[in-house]
Parts: sequence; structure tokens; C-alpha cells
Amino acid sequence: MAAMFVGRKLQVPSIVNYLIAGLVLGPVFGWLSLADTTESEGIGLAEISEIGIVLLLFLVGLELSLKEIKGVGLVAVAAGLGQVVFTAAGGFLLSLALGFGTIESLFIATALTFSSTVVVVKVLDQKGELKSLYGRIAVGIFLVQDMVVIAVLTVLSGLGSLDEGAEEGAGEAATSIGFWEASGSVMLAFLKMSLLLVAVLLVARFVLPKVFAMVERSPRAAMIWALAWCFVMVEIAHVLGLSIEIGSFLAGLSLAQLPRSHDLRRRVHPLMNFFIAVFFVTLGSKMDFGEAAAEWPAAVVLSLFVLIGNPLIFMFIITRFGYTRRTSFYTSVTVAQISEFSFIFIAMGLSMGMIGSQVNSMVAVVGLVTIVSSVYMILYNRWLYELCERLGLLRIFAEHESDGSEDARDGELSDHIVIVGMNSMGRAIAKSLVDRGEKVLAIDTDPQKFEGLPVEKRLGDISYEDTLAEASLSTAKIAISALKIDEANRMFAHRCNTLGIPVAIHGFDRSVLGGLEKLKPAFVLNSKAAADEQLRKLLADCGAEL
Amino acid sequence: MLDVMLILLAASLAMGLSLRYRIPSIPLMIGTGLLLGIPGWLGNANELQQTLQLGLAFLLFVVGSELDIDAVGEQKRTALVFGLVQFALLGTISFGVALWLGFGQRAAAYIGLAIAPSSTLVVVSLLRRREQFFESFGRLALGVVLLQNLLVILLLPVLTSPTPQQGARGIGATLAMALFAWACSRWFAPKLMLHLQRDEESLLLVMLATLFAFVGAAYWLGIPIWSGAFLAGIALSRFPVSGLVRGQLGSLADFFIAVFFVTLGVLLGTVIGNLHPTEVIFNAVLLAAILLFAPFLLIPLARRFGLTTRSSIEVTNLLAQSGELSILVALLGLQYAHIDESVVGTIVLLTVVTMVVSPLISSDRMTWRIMHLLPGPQRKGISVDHTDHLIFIGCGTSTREIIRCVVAAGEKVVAVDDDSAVVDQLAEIDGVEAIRGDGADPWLLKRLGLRDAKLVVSTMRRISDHERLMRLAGDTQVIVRTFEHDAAERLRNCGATVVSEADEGERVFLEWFDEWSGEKNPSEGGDPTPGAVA
Repeated sequence: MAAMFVGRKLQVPSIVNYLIAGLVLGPVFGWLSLADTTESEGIGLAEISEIGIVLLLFLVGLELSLKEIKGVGLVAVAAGLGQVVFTAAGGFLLSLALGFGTIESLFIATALTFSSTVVVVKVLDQKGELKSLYGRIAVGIFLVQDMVVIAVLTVLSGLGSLDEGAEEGAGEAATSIGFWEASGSVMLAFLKMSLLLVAVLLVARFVLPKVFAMVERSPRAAMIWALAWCFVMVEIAHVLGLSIEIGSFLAGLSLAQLPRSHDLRRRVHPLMNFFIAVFFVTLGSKMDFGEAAAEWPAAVVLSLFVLIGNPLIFMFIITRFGYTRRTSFYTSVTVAQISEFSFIFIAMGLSMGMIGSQVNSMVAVVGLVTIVSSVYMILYNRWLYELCERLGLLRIFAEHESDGSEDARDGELSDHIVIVGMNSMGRAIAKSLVDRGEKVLAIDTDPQKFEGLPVEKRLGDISYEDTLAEASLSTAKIAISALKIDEANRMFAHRCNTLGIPVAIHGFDRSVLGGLEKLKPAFVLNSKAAADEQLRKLLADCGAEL
Repeated sequence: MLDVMLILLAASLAMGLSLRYRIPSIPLMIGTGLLLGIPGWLGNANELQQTLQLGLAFLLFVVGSELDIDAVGEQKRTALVFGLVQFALLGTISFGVALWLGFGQRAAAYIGLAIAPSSTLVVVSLLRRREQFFESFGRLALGVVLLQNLLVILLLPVLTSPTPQQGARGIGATLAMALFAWACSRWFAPKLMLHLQRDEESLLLVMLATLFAFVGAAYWLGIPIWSGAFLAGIALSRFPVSGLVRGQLGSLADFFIAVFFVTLGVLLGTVIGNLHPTEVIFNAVLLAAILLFAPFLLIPLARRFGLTTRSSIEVTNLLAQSGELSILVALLGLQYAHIDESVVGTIVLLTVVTMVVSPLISSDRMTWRIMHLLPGPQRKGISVDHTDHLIFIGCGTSTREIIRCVVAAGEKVVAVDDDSAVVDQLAEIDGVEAIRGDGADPWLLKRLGLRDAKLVVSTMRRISDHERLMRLAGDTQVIVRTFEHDAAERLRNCGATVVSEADEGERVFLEWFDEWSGEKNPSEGGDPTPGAVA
């Protein structure tokens, strides 16, 4: 949290803050020992980090519909596989040129090849651009890369099982095992992924809607059921030899079609933030810079290769698919870092005695430099694109005309009326306002309460800031709460006041009026007083003397 | 990951059953956890212990954050006295019974402290679901559980410390931390949280930092770290901080509460072989009986504080269960090796039983049954001899204004309310026969001369109360007030004339809205009238 506070003042992204916190706890002061991640200690940081990754990819799946993923499937496969080949080749040659041996160059090249799904998805989520075209292509590319990672792990385990011989001998073995095993593994992974995808789609179409209808009116139960389904999918993926990322992504994708998917996303988000913070802090704490000083020239060259070379390879491939330079640039910038897998891979090489510890330290430096730099590159991708265009750096790539879909965003509401709580009064007010020609957006946690209402609907809980953001509260004409929950009403009034939106709040009981009036809403809707008035009229009509 | 999957599947099953059969999910989670634990399907005990500890920290943090002293309102003093007496009474009886059952003094003390507090999670969830937070007994119940929780964490050092001096030091340290938490809730937390409120990730980190800072401080001061977790929740319990953290905390709480209770069940399942089932069941049932029969001792006490018989029954029944604090006490006793697994099993079983029956014994139907068993003194001597009179049942401030008008116009009025202060005010109005009692009580209704009345006006809250009234009123015209349209429809079908608060609320809103729009449109951007009240 200390890192977050300092970082907030300096406008540093949260991922960078977490990494710095990890560095301080680990390599700098040594307060967080790597032993903390071992299973013998109980629930290790490694397991908590893994849960963070699972939840992050689950959220990505929840965010994206199958239609959106299908649209970018071809470019993701081509760019994902193409980049693996070109980056690996480029990294290998560059490492040889920098004086590393063949085996070391092979390890370095592989470490440079893969980008970090977790870093990119977290930044895109923070930017709210997971659903953008470039965000979807990036997610597709990372999923393809995940399958190649499986192939690499297969090769590595093959190498590990070989009798440890001379370096050259191992090199030859790597070459012979590498080609056939890698090709077979990639094909097998694609086959398993396809089968799993078909099975998940069938379940999503025929089973999940019925199952989740049972907990339709209980958001808490729906969240626990969704999480259970997510971890079931993770286990299935694990059994099939696929990555946990693929399992959790497919779980999210299968629930994305449910009416409650947005609410689920909002509920899982804080959980993900909690677990993923542990992941990044652990990542920072594990970086080992022991012999980095001796290898700094190589670290600089390889960092530049990842930061500039990788995006160039992607630009080259993506523009071939007819995307504009802008979209290609935004997508390409997302891959300008190495992955957490790179550290694992290098550590495995070190433990097998195939590479020296100086390679391990150098890759740690490359990792830190590229992850931190790429976070900024993604956050400021628009500014960077305009700068590159102004300098004419992108002219080597063909420009294609945009069909408009690339920059399309959901039409944001404005000058509308937000009504929270679809009880009888909320529904009656919503209908009357629609009759008067107003644009009305209704929010409730119970989907059944929306039935028959001719308004925009958002299923969700107003305790979550995202629910109000998705309702475009900041651009609303006025907000109304018909809820009979005092704390929720006061919080809603407080949030509206912060945004400067006039708000009418239901003062449903005499005991809550004082607290509400302190918040100075535009109107306190005192339904009891109004009913008293009507009661007087009725008494008079019934012949009571008044 | 396999363990996480199994725990979540067990929690899902429990929540599904809870929704289907309207039973609190917590005992079901412990039950499904037990089913997982017996065959030993889950990982190593060390990992489960750590999961349990993390879950318990979040659970107590959530419980603390639910307890805003401001929500107790005017019931603070009553809550203090009633809560203290109830806590002492239950603790002492349970301690005595535990000794009689053959437990040692220390184990009996743990049992006494475990039975004394009620479950905040159950009380808050029942009050929310039934929309009874604003009724006087709801506020009182909230105040009592807040007090009980504070008493438990104050007394924990006495049980866990090896010497009386250390125990006294522990109480002092807990008090100091409680004061600090209270100061945080008033001054520090609001400033910090309001500064960060546009950034959910920072909010989450501040929340977690608060939790772990308090836990760390408790550890440093040598008191149970769970006391720190609870007080961290108290530090964030006041509005608007509580509202800001609710979204972030809600998801974490749902997840960790599920994980905690399932893991607790699993751990119990793994040691079930060491327990003596007959003994555990016998002890738990006997102790549960204390909790379930305690209301009969406490009802007269509640009535002495001015509550009606019905509210007294409702508050005492609502509090008749053990809960998360009971489990905390048991786990701490086990951790310090002061009690064995059988005592833990007894306390958990007791918690499961009382939590399961809690919604049943606090239901309307049970309240009425108990009311019939307890004929109060006010039930004697009520007899209304008027004809052509007006009957008002439920006499809030505005209704009293109407009563004044009709009496001034020469109408005969019989007014019924369950609040003694209201009845005193009604009695001061000439021409009003003021009766203290519950308008939902058929015994009372039959003595009001309903069928001879000119008109009956009812402002009671519950539909079932209105329906009971309609059945007894015969052809007399009855005007009732209700909020929801479906309730209004049901009452209209019974023959009532309905004043719909929802419709009237809509009407006044639209009147205001038209005026507001009219003011706003000619000069786009004009400010609405702040603070207008219908």
C-alpha cells in the first residue's frame, strides 16, 4: 500500500507499484524469502498468485462474447504463431551475436518470445479497453501463445529427461526433439483446445442458462457458482494438459452470454485485484539481479529488441490482415514485454545446469525493463502512435481504410435519468417518465423486476462503482433512488453529490429523513407523507369529519 | 487448485440448498465441508489451517464493518443494559451447565463465552431480508450484537493468557485498540477513503492494509489477532466509509466466508474419528436448548425497557443463536490447547443447530405462538363499547395529526399502538380511547368493536397483519396503507381500500419533477432546489 500511495502521487501504474513493492521486499531488503512460495509452508504465495491469474483470465472471458473473439481468430493465430517464429529466430541470432553459446541463446530466445498475458490484460482492464478491437486481438494472440508455451514445456521436459551430457550433445538433442515434439504438442494442444471449446459452447448453450436460472435472484450465490464453474474448468484444462489460463478464459466465455455476466464481472473484480496484487509483488520479489551488472550491454540490447523489435514484427503481420496502422500499432505495443513464464523457463534451465546464473540475472533485468516500459507504452499508446506518425516512422507499413468498426464504442448515454431500485414505486416512476419522453435507465439486482419495463436496464448492485459507471451516471440529467435501504440510499446520494448530479432519494421512513437531508439531495421523496395526504382525502370521502 | 475447486463446489451446493429451503447458508456450508472432510479428499492439514485463518480474519473483518453504532439510533442505552444482562445470563447458565456436564473449569469458561454472543451475520441478514432494520427491535438487536462482540473480544485475553496479570494487560490492550478503531472510524478513515474514492483498486488496498495493520498490531500487543481483524472492521464501519468499502469488501467477504465455513467443516470431518458422537450431540443439544429457551427469561426484561410483548419476543428470538464469534472462541481454545476437539465439535454443532432453527423461531408464526403462551397484563380489561367509531391501528406522528383533526370534528376514536410513548400522547387527546397493544393480535382486535365501527384505518407494516384484520372486520370499511403493488392488489381482493405509498410517492415525485424540469429548461443548467422534501 505504501508503494501505491507513493505511486499515486507520481502517477505510476499499479502494476509498476506492485513490482517495486516486490523488489523492495525481496531483492532489496530480503524480507520476503522465496521459501514463502513453497508448498511446505502451507498456502504459498505461488498458489495465491495462480488464483489471481485464473480470476484475471476468467474476467477476460466474461468480458468478451464468442462473436467478438471469432472476429479476430484468424489474425490472432497468424500473428501469434508468426511472432513466435520471427522473435525466436531474431532473439537467437542476436544472442549469438552478443557472444552467448548456442544453448544459452536458445533459452534467451525462448524467454524473449512470450509476452505477459497477465500484465497486458491487467493494464487493458485498468484502461477499460479489453473490448476494443486491439484489446480483443491482443487477448487472442496471448491465448495462441499460451498453447505454444505448452509445446515449449514439453520440449523442456524432454530435455530434462535426457542424460545430462556435453553441452553440444544436449544441443543436438534439443534440435531433434524440438522440431517434432514442438509441432506435435502445438497440434495436440490446438486439438484439445478445440474439443474443449466445443464442449464448453454446448454446455454454455444448453446447460448453464438453466443452472444459473436457479440462482437468478441471488447475486451472492451466482458469484460462488460462477467461481466454482471457473475452477472446474481450470481443473479440466489441467487434466487435458492445457494451461490454467485457457481453462479460466473458457469458463468466463461460457458465462459471458448470461444476463448476469456484467454483475458477475463486477463482483469478481475486487477478488481478482486482491489476488493479482500478490502475483505482481511475488514476481518482483523473485527477480534475481545478482550478476546483472556484468551483462548490462546485452540486457540493454535485448530489452530494445523486445520493446521495438517485437512490435515491429507484429505491425508487419497485422497490417497484412487489412487493419489500420492505428489498430496494428495499438495491438503491437501490447506485446513489448517478456512474460512471467520467461522467468520460470530460465530458472528451469539454470536448475538443469544448461545456462549460467548471469543469463538468469540478465533476463531478470530485461523482464523488469520491458514490463515497466510496456505498461507505460500501453497506457499512453495514443500519444505514442501520434508521435510515431508525426515522425513518419510508420510509413513503411501500408495504411488501410477503417470501416468504422475499429473505433466503434458502445454508445454512451447522456442526459438520461437513472433510477435505482425497481420496487413498485421505482417501476411506476420509470413508466411515467418514459411516457413523458424521457430516456430512462433502471438498475436493480433482481432481473425479474425489469419485466415489462420499456427502459434501458442494468443488472447490478450500486455498491459497486462500476455499476454506476456503466449506467453513465456522470452524464445523467438526474438520478433517483426508490430503494428502501438506508445505507445504499445515502451512499448513492453521496456518489451523485460527488459527480454533481441532482438526486432524488426515497425517504421511506421518518427515522431516515434526518440522515438524508444532511446529504442535501435535490428532493427527498417522502412516500409516507404523500400517503398521509391521500389518507386524509379518503377519510373525508368516507364521511369522516375532518 | 483442486482443493479450491472442491471447496467452491461444496459452497455452491450449500448455497443452492439454502436458496431452495430458505435455511441460512452457513450451517449448510459446514455440513457440505464435513462431507468433503470425512473421506479426506482435501489437501494437507497445514494448508487447510491457513485457509481457515485467512477466512476467519476476513469473516471477523466483515462482521466488524457491519456494526455501525449510529444505526442503533435511540436504542443505545437499552441495548447496553439489555445486552449486558443477556450476555451475563447466558454466559453464566452455559458455564454452570458445562460444569454439570463434566467439563473442566477452563473448558466450561470457553463454552460460556462461546454461547453468550449471537451471530451478527444471521441477525443482520434476517433484518435485511425482512426490512426490519428500522423497527425498534431491529435497532435494539443490532446494538446488542455489537455489544456482545465487543465483550467477547475484551474477554478473550482473559481466557487465552496464562496469568491474570497478562489477562488484565490483554484487556487493556484490546480496549486501547478498540478506542483507536473508534477514532479511525470517526476521523482518519473518512478522510483517507474520501480522498481515494474514485479509485477502486486503491480503496481495496487501503481496506486490506487496515485489516492487516490491525492484525499486526494485535499480534504485537499479544492479544488474539482475530480481535485485530474485528476492530479493523469497526474502523471502517461508519458512513460513508462503510458504503465505499461495501462493494469491494462484499465480494471478498462472500468468497472468504464460503471458504472459511466449508474449510471448518472439512477440518471437523478429518477429526470426526476422534470425537465421541453421542456425547457431542447430547451436549450440543442441551446447550442449544439453553439458547432456545433463554428468550422466555429475557422477554420480561425487554418489556421492562418499554418494548411491547411482540417486539420483546421478536428481539429475544432473533438473538437466540450462537455464531461466528462462538466458532472463534472454540478455535482459539483449540489453538491454545485449552479445549479438545470434542468441545470444538460441540460448539460447532450447537452453532449449526441454532443457526438452522433461527429463521423458524424468529418467524411471525412462532412469535404469535409464544404470545399466546404469555398472556400479558395489558390483555385484561380491554373492552370497547362504542359504535360508529373510527379505529386507528398504528399511530405514527402524521396519523396522530389526522386523529386530532377527526376528534376535533366530533368523531369518536379508538387508537391502538404498541409504543407506550405513543399511547401516552394519544391519551392526552380528549375524545380518544388510547389502547396499548399490537394491532395484529386477534385477541385485541376482537375487543375493539371492529364490526360496529364506522371505519378502520390501519398503518401496520406487515401484509399478514392487514389480512388478519380484514378477516375480523366483516363489512366495516377498512383503509390500509401499503407499499408494494402486489400487496395492494392482495388487500384490495380482500375488500380493503388501499392507500398505496408507491403510487403516492410516484405522484409527488412527478409533481416535483415537472416543476424542476420547468425551472431547469428555460435557463439550461439552473440548479435544482436543494433539500426539497415532499
